[in-house]
Amino acid sequence: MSDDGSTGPSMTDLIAYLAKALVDRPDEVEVESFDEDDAEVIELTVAREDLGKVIGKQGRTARALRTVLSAASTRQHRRAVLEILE
Amino acid sequence: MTEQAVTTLRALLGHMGIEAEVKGSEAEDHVLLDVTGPETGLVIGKKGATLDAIQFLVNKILATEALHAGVSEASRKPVYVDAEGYRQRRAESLLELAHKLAAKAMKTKRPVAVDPMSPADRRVMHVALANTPGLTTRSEGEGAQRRLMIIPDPNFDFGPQEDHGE
Repeated sequence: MSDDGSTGPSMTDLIAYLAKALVDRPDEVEVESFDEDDAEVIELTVAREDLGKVIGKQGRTARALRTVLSAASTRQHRRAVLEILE
Repeated sequence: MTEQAVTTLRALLGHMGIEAEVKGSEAEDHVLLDVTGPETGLVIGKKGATLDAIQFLVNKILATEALHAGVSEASRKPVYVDAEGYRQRRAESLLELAHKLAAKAMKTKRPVAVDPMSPADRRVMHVALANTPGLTTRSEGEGAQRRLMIIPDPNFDFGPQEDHGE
C-alpha cells in the first residue's frame, strides 16, 4: 500500500494487523487510506459487534492504537491519523 | 505463554518498522518482555506513553487469542513490557518525586497536586506513600488529566521537617 516508493512498512498494514488480532471477526476488518494535506488518513472498519474491541473501555484501545501508529509514522517522518468508522 | 508473548511483541514491532530484540522471562505472577536495540527511544516514547500503549495492546491481543482458543482467563499472567530498564529507572525517579512532594506537603501542611500521570505511574506514587503517617493520597480529574493529590492531615504533628531542598 506504499504509494511514495518508500521501503518502510505500511501504516495500513500495521492497523490491519492490530485490528485483526483484537477482534472476533478478522475477516471483516477493512483498512483503507488516503492522503489529506500532509497526513495519511487511515480508515478502519470492523464488524459492528467488534467496534468495542477496537475502541475499548473509555476509548483506551483506540488511544493505544493511535499512540502506536503515531510512533511508527514518526519513524517514517510522515504523520498518520486513524479514523474508526462506525 | 512467554514464547507466545515474545512472538506477539516481535510481530507488533516488526509491523511498526522498528528494529529491536525481544527477550522474555516468566515470573510467578507475570511475564516480562525486555526490548533492546538502537530504537528503544521510539519504543518508549514521551514519558513511556508508547511503551504503555504497546504493553496494553500486547495484553489485549494475547487475551483475544486465549479467548478464541478457549483458554481460561485465570491461567494467563499479565505481560509487562520494558525497554532498556526504562520502567525501573522511571519507578526510581517517581519514588524520589513522591518523597520530595510528601516532604513539601508535611512542611506546608497543604495538599500538593502532582502533574498528570499514567495510571501505572500514579500507582507507584500511591504505593510509595501508602504507609506515611498523616498523609493520604488520592487521584483527581479525568482521563489524561488525572493527577495524584498528596493530602496532609491538618491535625497531625509532623514534627520539625528537614529541608529536602529544591
